[in-house]
Amino acid sequence: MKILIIEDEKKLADNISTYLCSEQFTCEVAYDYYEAIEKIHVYEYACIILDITLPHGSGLDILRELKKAKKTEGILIISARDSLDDKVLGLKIGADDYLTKPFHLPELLARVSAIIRRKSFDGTDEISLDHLTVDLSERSLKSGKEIIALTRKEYDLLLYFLTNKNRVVTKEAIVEHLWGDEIDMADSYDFIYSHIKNLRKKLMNAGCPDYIKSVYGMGYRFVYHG
Amino acid sequence: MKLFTRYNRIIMLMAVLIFLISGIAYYFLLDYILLQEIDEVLSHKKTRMETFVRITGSLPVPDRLGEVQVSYTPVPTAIKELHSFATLYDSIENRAAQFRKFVFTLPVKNELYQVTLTRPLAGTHNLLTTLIFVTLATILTILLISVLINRIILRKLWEPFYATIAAMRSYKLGKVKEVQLPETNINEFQFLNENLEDTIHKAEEEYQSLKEFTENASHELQTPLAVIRSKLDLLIQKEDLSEMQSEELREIYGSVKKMSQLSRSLLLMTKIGNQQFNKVSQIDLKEKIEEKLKQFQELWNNSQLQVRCELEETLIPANENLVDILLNNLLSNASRHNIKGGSIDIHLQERQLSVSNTGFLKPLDPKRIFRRFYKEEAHSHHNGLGLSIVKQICEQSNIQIAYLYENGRHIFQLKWQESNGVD
Repeated sequence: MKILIIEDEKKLADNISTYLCSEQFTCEVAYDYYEAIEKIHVYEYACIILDITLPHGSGLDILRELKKAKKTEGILIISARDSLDDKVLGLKIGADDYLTKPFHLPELLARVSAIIRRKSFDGTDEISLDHLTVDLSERSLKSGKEIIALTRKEYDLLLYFLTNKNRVVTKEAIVEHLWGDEIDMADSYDFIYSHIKNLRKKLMNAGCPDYIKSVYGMGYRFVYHG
Repeated sequence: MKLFTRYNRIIMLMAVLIFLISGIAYYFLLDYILLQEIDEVLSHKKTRMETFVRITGSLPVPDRLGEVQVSYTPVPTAIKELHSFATLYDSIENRAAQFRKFVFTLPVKNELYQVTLTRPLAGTHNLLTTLIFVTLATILTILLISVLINRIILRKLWEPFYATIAAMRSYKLGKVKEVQLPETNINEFQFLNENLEDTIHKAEEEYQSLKEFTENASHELQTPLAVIRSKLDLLIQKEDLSEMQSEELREIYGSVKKMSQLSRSLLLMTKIGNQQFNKVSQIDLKEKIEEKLKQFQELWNNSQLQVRCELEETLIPANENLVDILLNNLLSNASRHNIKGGSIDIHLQERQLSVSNTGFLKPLDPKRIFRRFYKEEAHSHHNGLGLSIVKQICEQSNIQIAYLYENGRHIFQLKWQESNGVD
């Protein structure tokens, strides 16, 4: 699947591209308005990551252009302008989601994956994890027909890990994903440990290996090659 | 003291002084003139008598009924002419009265006579009194009328000034509403208004550019921060990081987070100041707080904080986003500055919310607590903007906020009106 990153800050665009690129995604980058317009008319993408402030034009204009051309790509706006009006306007024109800079790359990937899953019509609303399956429409984890009971936080955490599998995600990014970044909770993120512990226990009870590896107190890596 | 009261007082004092002095001078002047008049009449009489003696060679018979009384006394030598006052018995009025006396020597044939002319002063005195009285009354009337007129006219004249002052009092820097200074055709007030308008204009411009600067600076910071953060996210993917490197990376993460929060807080404050959150609705505060409680529960469990709630149904007319931020900041604040095993009390009553928590065992400085970057401890991990954001939201939404310290608890009390006329 192809993803287009429209972002004028070259370093940021390249970092995003490096992080998202995997066996699943290939990335292309456009650094200004005209390059972006050209690319969106020539190619088809699964998802477009769109910055609002661009040289020679506005990201919102690109969004309008996309809608005018009746393109069906998923669109994620990334903007330094943490403005509610921008957010409302962007979503109204037809963006699928909005992320404020600075963001965590795992968060970006989670949002992009969510958009692609929502947009895809090929009926793949399941992710398999060894002998388990994550049912995305039911928001549940199953072993065969049997449901493994997860709390909402545990389910979100599992999905987040699966989208960012084999990558290190920081505790900070996990907290922001699960609780939002508006609540500045505490200086330490230890309180997520109980969720991690419970999820790990439930997965291992279901006969899975220990996927969740702790990385030097910095974060976790969900190791799964499937 | 009002300017025109003071002005009136000075003018009155001066006028009374001038009138007193001039009244006294006037009295003596009139007295002198009238006396001169009488003396002249007496001198004239003398001349007539001298002429009479020269022609007839004898003294005229005194006229008993005339105003001027005449009496003769033979004298051996001539005496000096003399005008003087005398108190004599007035046969007409039957009592002692003041007279003007003129004594001179008149030679008749070879004999010398001392002639004494007297004239009563009663008439002149009456005239003088009447004149003085009339004059004083006129002066007093003029004085009174001028004071009254001054009062009315001055009040009228100063009207534009008071209107300007009233307009300035309702003015607040950064408010969208422009100040309307009253029209006037008095040069001084025009000058005042022009200068005030100029000053306001300049202050507004400065304020605007300062706000824009804060806004732009915050915006511009976000992109490099995004670059740093994304670089860090990539860097930690490296397999061969040592524990020490990880620790250092974690510190960088922490600093980046702090910095991005700081710039977002500043941006938020600018936006609140710009009234970008002006959509007001009636918000069910109980529902909002319950929602927040769920979000915070995890954190409270972890730090073993006991939370007691008494929530009554009440509405608050405010912007929903701002209420959200307000509650976040109040609850975060109560959690952060707490002690292990401490407690938080949340009381929601009709138009009143109080959040109290255990914490430092001394009261905070209520004057400085809402200031930007206020920190109780220098090494605090927080940017010190939380409470000043709370304060700003309260000001914006016409909520009164107070800080109290009672029984070892820090209490933040919010009160508002049912419909508080938020613009």
